[in-house]
Amino acid sequence: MRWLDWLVVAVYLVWVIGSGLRLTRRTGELDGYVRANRSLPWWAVGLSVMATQLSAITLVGTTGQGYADGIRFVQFYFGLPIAMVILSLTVVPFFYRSGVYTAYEFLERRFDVKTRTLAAAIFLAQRGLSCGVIIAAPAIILSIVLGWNLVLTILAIGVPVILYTMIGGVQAVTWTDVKQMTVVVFAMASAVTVLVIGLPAGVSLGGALHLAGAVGKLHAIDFRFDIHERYTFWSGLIGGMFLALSYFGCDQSQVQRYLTAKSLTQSRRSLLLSGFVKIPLQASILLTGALTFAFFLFHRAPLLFNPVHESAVLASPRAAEYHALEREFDDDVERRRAAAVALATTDGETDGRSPAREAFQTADAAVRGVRARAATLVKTVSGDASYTDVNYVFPTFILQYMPIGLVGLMIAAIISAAMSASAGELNALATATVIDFYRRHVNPSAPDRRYVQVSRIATAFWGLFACGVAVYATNLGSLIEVVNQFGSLFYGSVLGVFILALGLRRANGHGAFVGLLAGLTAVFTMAFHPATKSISYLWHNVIGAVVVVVVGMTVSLVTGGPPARDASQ
Amino acid sequence: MRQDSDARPADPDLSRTYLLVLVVEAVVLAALYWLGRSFS
Repeated sequence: MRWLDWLVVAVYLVWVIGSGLRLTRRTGELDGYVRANRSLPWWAVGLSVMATQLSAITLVGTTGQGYADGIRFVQFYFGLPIAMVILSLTVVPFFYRSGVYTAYEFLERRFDVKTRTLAAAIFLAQRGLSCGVIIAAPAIILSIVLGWNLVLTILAIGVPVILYTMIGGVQAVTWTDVKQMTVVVFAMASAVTVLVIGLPAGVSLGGALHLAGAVGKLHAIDFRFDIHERYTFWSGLIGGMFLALSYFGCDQSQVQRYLTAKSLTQSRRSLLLSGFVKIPLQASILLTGALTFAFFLFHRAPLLFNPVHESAVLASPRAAEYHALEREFDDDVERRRAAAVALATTDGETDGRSPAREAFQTADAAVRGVRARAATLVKTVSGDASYTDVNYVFPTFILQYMPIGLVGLMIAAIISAAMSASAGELNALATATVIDFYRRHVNPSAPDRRYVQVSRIATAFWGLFACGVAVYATNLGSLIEVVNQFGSLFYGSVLGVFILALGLRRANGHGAFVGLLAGLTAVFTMAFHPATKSISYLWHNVIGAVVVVVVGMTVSLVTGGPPARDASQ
Repeated sequence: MRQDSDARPADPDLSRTYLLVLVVEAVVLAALYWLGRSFS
């Protein structure tokens, strides 16, 4: 990075944090601090909802997935718009009208304190750890590709987030999210522009897409019904819908966002914004990854994108083997480049069996073969069986091919994505800690000022906890999948409890509590048992919800009790 | 426990917006399917 890039990053940080804090009002009161006095417009809340999900993992990991595996990952989001409509019709009015601060507070009104406390504890454990991953992801990548100290990078991202979240609460989080989303979108548009301009003369954008498509990277939809296949139309539509229902409907990091809207209608509209934009946005990020693949057909790409692993192999007794692979790689890359030019300049030919197309596919398979052998060598030398360099593809492109100034903007976008996602989570973690534990179990009648004070302490605690997790989360595989797989262990079961709460009047507290434990047991067993662990993690959300509802209703009917009254009142 | 006891104004009917969300999703999925078919 050069001085202009550093300046861009510094100006960005001062602008985002300063203006975010300036827009906060009445944060000395609990309602202002955790719910923004219900004063925020739908578009700001909607952008904040999206920013909380759009972490640095999304920018770096998703583009890497697009490069390596194509755009099929977009199927993961197919159930999301349907979930947004369902939530707008069901959960949002319940939460909004009940005047709760947390989703779990609602569970005590409907069931009992033990169900509320268990659900809140699951949220704290799961989100506390995932917040660490969210900070770790960009920190590890930036520290490796830029040669920064890992701990200092984690603190450089984590400390500003802790400070502005502590001071401004949910309002500072929302207004900084809005600016961070703007920066991220602008930076991604810049990256796409550089990718397209960087294509050689004679290779159009259409030609580049044909090249990516020729090796299956634009194959977005797979209609096969195979529960062992990770991403299909059906796993995305059904499993993804359950995941989105749970994440947006039962996870405090999302619920807290839309409880800050001015009215119920504005709350609903903020969620529907994700329904409109999420799939096109994710498809665009994945397509950027596929375009990066096309770009590297014509520009020198390293054999391995992770420079640390490359150095480790070169320092080992097997360095000569690696050098031989590099020579083979250079030859194969040159052959693939020639085949790519031949195919791209005849992109009017869409015949699947054209000689140019087959020559390109053969050349690409050869390049992939050498890279696979290099990866095997790294795994042997480092002992890291889960090695993948997919997360280093996009940062490598940014640092080697983007012009001065835009490198700073892209680094700012990666940092800001990490900050916006972790700020929303820290804020929600602090809110659940104060409302569901401190106020409920420790000090129910303290003045507002005390709760805000404890919220600030809780924010600092969870921020430092997340930074601590980040320091130890060094081996993360494909980052976007790690977070989603981990979340899917819990999402379905928590959703099941809310289905019992909102949809089944005969469900009672004992049923919900036992059902939740049964759902978690079923999902953990399925995820780790040798016979079932190959089932795609998206189905864990469905299984968890179904087990909780079935067991919860059975226990409720056995233990009895009158039908519930409307808990939103 | 804070309760919202204010009189609630009638909430606007968002059913056309819900329908639009689903229509947009169908169009985007069709576009993705077309992308895969046309460029593969």
